Amino acid sequence: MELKEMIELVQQHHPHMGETEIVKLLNRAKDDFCEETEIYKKTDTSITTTADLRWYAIPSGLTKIEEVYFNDVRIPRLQGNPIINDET
Amino acid sequence: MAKTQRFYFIDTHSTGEKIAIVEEAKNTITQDGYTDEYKTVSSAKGIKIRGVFTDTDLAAGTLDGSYSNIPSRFHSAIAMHVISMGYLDPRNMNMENSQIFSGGYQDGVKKAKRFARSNYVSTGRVVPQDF
Repeated sequence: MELKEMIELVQQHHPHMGETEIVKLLNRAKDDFCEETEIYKKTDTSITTTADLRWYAIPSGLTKIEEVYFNDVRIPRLQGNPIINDET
Repeated sequence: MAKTQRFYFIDTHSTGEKIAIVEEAKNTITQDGYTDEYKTVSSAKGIKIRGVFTDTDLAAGTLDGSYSNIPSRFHSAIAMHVISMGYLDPRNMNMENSQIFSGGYQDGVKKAKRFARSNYVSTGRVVPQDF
């Protein structure tokens, strides 16, 4: 269903609502839907590590991590945090 | 070749929530008399994160766009969620209608969950036949 069709569907019930407002609400509803149903699963490959750099931005849109691979080898989640903080 | 065990964790970094990659390093990292068993990753390699994502936002200017990673038969459920939210708006408040459309959205969620779990596999049943 195209965005135009969804806007028309909403405007049949709420003719006072503008396009921008509806698109904002549709995007919010889409986020709720994806989080509740877990319908969109994928493998993100946007991160490449750099030597001596610990922290990396979380890929946008990620709501739940299932597995992480470092150089194609699955790595576990660390229980707790390292005792020495490193902000690099 | 010696194996280096690596780990990931998520924490609040000084610039927001981030993912950290560390590797085992026995007794090499010390600070203020304490010794840590983990150090920052020391090589440049690719990271793959398998997980659940939200589809890309649509922009008001692109009316022919659609949520391409959500099967189209569930798009009406998303619209129903917005219609339900619209009926909670003071300009057009109607609790009864809001609940009706919220129910429609929940039906869509239930079907989509079942679909997501099925991984495009449907199971059949073997029926015995007399010849």
